Amino acid sequence: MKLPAPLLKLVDAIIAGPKVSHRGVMGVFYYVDDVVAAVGTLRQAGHRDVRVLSPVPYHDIERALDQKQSLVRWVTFGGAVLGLTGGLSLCYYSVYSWPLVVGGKELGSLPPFVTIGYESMILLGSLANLFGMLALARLPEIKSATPHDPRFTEDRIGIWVPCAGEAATQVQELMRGHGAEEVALHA
Amino acid sequence: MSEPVVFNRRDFLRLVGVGVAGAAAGCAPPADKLIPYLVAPNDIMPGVAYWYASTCTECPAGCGVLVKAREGRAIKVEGNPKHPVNLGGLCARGQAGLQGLYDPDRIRTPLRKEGGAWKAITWDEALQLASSKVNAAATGRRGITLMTGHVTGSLQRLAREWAEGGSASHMAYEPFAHESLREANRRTFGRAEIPDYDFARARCVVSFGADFLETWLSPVGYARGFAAMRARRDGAGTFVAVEPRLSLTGTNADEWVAIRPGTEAILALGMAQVILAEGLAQGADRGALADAVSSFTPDVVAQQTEVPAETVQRLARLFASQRPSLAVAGGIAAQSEQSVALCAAVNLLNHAAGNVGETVRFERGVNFDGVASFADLQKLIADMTRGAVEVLVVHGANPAYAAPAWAGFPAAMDKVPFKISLSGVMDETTQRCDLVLPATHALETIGDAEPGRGVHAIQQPAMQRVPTFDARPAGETLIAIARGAGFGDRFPETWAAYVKARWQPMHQRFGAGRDFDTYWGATLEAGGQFEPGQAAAVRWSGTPAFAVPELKGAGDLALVLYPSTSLFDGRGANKAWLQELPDPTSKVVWGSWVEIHPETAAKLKIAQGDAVKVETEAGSVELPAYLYGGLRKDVIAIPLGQGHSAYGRYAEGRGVNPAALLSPAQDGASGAVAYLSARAKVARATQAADLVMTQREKGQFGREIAQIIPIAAILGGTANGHGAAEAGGHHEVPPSQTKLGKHTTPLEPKPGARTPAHAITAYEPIHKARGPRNNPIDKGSYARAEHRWAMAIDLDSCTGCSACVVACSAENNVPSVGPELVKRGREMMWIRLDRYEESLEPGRVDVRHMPMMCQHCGDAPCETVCPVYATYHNPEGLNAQVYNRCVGTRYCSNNCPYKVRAFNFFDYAAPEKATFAFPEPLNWQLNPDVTVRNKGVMEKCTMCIQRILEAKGIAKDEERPLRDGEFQTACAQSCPTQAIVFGDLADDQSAVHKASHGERRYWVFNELNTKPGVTYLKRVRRDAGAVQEPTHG
Amino acid sequence: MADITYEPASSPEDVGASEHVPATVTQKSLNADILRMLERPGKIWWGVFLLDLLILAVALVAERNQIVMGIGVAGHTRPVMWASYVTNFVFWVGIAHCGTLVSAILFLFRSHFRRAVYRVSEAMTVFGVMTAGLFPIIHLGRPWFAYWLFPYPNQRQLWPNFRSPLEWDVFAVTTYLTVSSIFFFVGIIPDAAVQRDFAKNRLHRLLGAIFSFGWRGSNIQWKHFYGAYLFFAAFATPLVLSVHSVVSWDFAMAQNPGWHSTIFAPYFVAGAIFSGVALVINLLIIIRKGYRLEHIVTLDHMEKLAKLVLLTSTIVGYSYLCEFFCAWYGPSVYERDLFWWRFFGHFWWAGWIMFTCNVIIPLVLWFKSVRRNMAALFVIMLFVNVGMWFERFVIIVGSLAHLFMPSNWGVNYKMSWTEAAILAGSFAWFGMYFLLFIRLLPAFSIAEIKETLAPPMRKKPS
Repeated sequence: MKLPAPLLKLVDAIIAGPKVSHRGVMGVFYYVDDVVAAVGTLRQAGHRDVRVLSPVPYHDIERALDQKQSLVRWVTFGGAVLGLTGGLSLCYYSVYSWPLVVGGKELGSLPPFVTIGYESMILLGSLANLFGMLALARLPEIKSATPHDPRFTEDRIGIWVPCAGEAATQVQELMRGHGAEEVALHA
Repeated sequence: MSEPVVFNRRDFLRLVGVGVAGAAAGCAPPADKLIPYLVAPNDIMPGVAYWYASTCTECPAGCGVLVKAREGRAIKVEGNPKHPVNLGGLCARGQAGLQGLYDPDRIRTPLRKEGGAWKAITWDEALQLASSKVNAAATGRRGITLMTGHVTGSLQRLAREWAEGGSASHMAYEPFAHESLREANRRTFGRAEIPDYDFARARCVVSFGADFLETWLSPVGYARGFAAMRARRDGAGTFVAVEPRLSLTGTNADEWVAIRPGTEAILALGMAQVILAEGLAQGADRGALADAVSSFTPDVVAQQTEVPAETVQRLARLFASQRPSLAVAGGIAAQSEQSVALCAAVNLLNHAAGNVGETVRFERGVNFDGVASFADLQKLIADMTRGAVEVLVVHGANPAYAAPAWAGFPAAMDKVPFKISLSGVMDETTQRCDLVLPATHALETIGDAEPGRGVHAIQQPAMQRVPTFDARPAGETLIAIARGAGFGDRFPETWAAYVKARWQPMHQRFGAGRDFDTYWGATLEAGGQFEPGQAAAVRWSGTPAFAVPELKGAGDLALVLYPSTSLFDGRGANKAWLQELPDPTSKVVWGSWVEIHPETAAKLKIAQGDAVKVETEAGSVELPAYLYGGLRKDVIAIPLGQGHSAYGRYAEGRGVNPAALLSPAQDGASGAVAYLSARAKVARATQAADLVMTQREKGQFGREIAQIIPIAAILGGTANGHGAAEAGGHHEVPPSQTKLGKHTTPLEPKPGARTPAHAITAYEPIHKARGPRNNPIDKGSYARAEHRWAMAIDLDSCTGCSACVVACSAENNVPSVGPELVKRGREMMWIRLDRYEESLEPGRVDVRHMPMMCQHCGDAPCETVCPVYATYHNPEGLNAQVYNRCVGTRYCSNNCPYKVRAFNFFDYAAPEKATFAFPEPLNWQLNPDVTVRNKGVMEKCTMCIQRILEAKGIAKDEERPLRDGEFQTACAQSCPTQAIVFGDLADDQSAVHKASHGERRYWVFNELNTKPGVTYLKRVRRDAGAVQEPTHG
Repeated sequence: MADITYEPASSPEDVGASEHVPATVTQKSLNADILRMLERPGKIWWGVFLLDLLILAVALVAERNQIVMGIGVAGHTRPVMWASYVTNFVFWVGIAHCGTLVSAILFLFRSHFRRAVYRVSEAMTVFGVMTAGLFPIIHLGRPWFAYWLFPYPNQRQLWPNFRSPLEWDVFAVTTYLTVSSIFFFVGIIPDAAVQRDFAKNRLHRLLGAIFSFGWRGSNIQWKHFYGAYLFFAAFATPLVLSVHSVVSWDFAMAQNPGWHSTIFAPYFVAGAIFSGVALVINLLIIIRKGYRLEHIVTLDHMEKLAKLVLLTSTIVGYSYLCEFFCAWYGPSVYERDLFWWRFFGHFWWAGWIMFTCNVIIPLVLWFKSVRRNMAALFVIMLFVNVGMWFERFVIIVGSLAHLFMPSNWGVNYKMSWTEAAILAGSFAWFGMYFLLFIRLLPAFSIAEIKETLAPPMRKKPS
């Protein structure tokens, strides 16, 4: 069966994502140590927002970019605390708002409530973790922040340096010098 | 426990008998639909229960009942505490009378048979036809027979006058007419009557096959007396059962003498011989008696009865020393060709021991006056066969089913040209009739009865006639026929008038100056006019000859047929409650079974539930086997009452009627049918059998569920611990059960600390704070509660009669689900009777009957696990079940150690479903104070919370506190022996509080720390041999 | 400069750092291998899928019938108020436990063999919970009121009873479903990006676009991705332990003999992993054979999983023996009767199936040759799951039928057709999702397997 052409167009559009024009230089690398070196020199050259795109995270590159630890853990912690307290207080509120005796037990019987609190802690913690990650990693990324290139999800590593004019040519040189297979200027 | 709980019915009783009687006598127009009236009659207040004193007609005992009516519908039958016959108790059959009233298979209009098919006709046509036939026969003197059941009072009188007027003959046919007992009394005491048997006064009872706790004569009254005897604490109260098959009555005995079938008389005589020979005799005529029994020495007796000589002597000495003692005989199961001899022998024994006039008194008795003997029936059969009967009018008798096949009643009946039935249901006899003039049910009919001499009981209609059924009182119909046939002028217009007319002389005697209506009203309220009985002196008037009956047939097993505890002679078979009521000894429902001794069965390669073929020279039946240790190895037993070919959807085609196994045999002297007369062969049958039981295990596997305590321990005053030591007898007791859990030991009360009502249990001293980990809640409504409802159940009084089960079903709208579902463990009963056969050896019988219902635990396991609070502990200590909150996880049932919760697996309340349990008009019986539960919810005993609320409401209106015993749960109320005591545990003076703190108390599964609200009192084990003397008091 | 010569990633030197994946695998080939799964096989897949839907339809009819007629159409009786439905519930929750174990616990332990297998087992987890979650509702007397078990504000101020183990279940299972799904879909993000970029079929690329959330693989994304992933693992690990403990408390918190035991939590968790890993092995054996991925899911992987089964099997066996010892040694006559009855009473066969399949048969896994023999492994794992189903059956029916009250002992439970249909339907329900999954999303973690490859270096690491 064949789908109508406009629908197919729409699908392709979704897959491709919105057209965005970027200004900067994109270098395509194969070797990790080349990238590390290139990133180092670029940063020395004063390019702060160098962005590396890779199919796999490489620690060397992270080091070269000297990245801080992700902040997501604090968001997660907040969610977990909320879950624990929320779960427990729901239990206590429910039994004291309407006293009902079951099994001759005390109204506020902690041991069973711990289970509830514990599960709520994990639930809200994980949700916070998820949304924290999405927020910090700017996901979903509808508008591509860098020129899209499928090779970066295959086996190539890209370095994106937003720049223009004089700086751009400089960057291109620098990248080629570090063994970029391909350097493209986006303007 | 022997104190009868004082009822206060006066608050409930209303003097509306007259009005309703008047209404009931008139013709209620037939209606298509059953809808409660929109505008209530003046004398009925919606929502208020009215109680009508009446008389139970389910068996000849004639117990007094109070019928509860709501919105003009009878919904519950209870024993009348003021009635001399039953003193408030009522058996399962009496309770189930209601289902006879609302039987969906009752005949709806007069019917005429045309070409074998029934055709509905109008009353006028029917009466016209009936009277013309009767008239023709009467004028032509061509023989009319009016056959009724056991009738007393006005109806009996009417029947006689009717017979005279129509130059007919009246015959009152009762399957169990106790001819032999009456005949024996005539021969030995010169009175062909049934005396009073005073079990309460007896210090020792020996029963020669008389099941006086089940069907024999007046079981409810006897059970009350028996319990009173058992409650004695002076070392007396021994009960010995002499029977080849241990009946339910026998399971309550201290000793079972498994005697050779038919030789009971010989043992009685042997005992008398010992008593007389050893000079222990008390009564008069010793010399004469001694001559009569001289030949029955213990050795002769032993040789004939297979009872060891020393047992004969021991029993004799016991019987003579424990005066006044009581020996009873004449049970149907022991009714052989020598049954008169048996009854006479027992009379002799009683006389020798000096019990006549003491525990055997010719006072009120049980009224069998004018009840025909089986010989009379045979005469009628002969007449009918040779065409001497032109018209047969039958009412309240079903000989076509009840008379043994060999008598050939059906065939003879078919020879009668015109047969009229006044029966309300299409039973086997009615089926053979040509015309049916349906009679109203006793509960919707005015009338009276005389169950005993001087006991003038009222039979009061509790409601207008059920409109679905266009029926008329039998008396009404008889009068109408008489008038139509031209001999009715002697009768007043209506049946009601006839009844009242008969009460005029009573008014003369007892009216005490009041006008008739006042007196009549008072009588209706009291349930009758009860004269004090006067014992008639009797003297020994001769000793009949004694012989041992010969059993017919080739087989090597004696066939014992006994009346079913719940179905009686079969008339209970059309009531779902009784069909689904587990038989007290076998726990089988909805069918027949043959009892075989395990060893005999093993020899024959028969296992529990196998289909077996029972064959006598008269015929054979196939039915499932039930292995029962309470039998002699050379005996098999089958209950009577099943195997109906007609009689409604609940009765038809269930089980077999073992009377078909009998070949012609009857007592020469009395003409009584010899139910014990055949030998049988037993073999495995090919086709599969269906043995539907509610309790498969017979033992308690070392678990102290039903505990006992030796009498010695009580007389010695040290009760505690003995249950553990004695329970079960032959196994060691798990240590976990002998001590309470650690944290259940009460702490010292904090100053001013008081346990809130909901937390009170007999398990811990009242008014003590509990452990710190387990503080009772005193918030919200829990702070204000004043009562802790609880029960105490005396296993020593409980006879296992199961009346409470039916009472509970009636009160709480518990559906009967039918055999298929019961087989799958889905019975709905809220209370069940567990029986544990600890030992069934002759000599020592230890069967424990135990009512088991929701224990309303203080720390209920079921409550904690319900995720939606559908079950919780209410402020008054009840374990409440909120039906409409229940989602049906069934976790509560899993976690209930007592397994007393019933689950609605199907929709028993939805008329459109196949599983509907209350086909119209059966649903009229439903108690409007109790919801009918729907599909998918859990239900269980509520301790009749609706009654609690009603009583609290009344007390509030009258601005007074609740009185202990002013109301009862249905089970407690119905209990003939008052083994169940219900009340407020928070009230130190209440009966339940006293009972729950007695020396015999214990709790089931104590060690699980559920703190039950139901306290059990240990069954007392007495040693039949040695007579304990009280060590104190 | 275009004259740079690539070194083939498969040169022996590169293999040094890689674990388990043979040198022939390159980042490029990996993409291709995994994405190839989305296309084939056509006919067989459709055949299986349609059969699956047919079975599911039958189950739905049975369920409808049960709702209309009442739970009575199932074989439950008094005293056996729980039976096959709760058995299925515990069984499927157990199945669901392997995924989180492999993806979370092994992640924390840095045991990298998980990388090749965790996507399949995570999918199994999610679908397993989705299956398990149905049964508490199916087994209710009034399923249409199942929502009453959830704590939602209502004008009657009625809250559920938080003391009830069933209520704990509600929290545990919903939490587990949520967390494991999050874990599953987050893990998919980078691979979905691959699918978006390289899948042939438009539908697959669309799905890739959706599930990749616009993933570019930039260093920032990677940073937060792994920052979060660590915590997902950190949460999922205690969760997976707690969930089956809670499930075990449905029984252990009741006071019934055979249920009321402190060993239940660890015993159930071990059993869950036991059955879960067994099913993973079954699925992997089929997939790696059907899709010829032996070079990605290697024998080493399978052997490691087999060892896991052997370990948990011994734990489960220990628990059985421990229970028996306690029953024999302890004071309770009820326990003693019950445990004897379980193996020699009416349901003796169930007891022996359980013991044979779970304790005796897995013993052959001590042999390396068996562990590396896929055919043998497959059969053994089937036995294990049969055994584990019967374990739950024995625990539930085998206790309820023989509790405190001898007068109420009932052996009249028989599995009805409705129950059988719904049991089959549960497998169909699970199978439906799994079949769709392997056709629509990457069934192996491309990104993580790539991590196991040696990073391409111009200067060789000295």
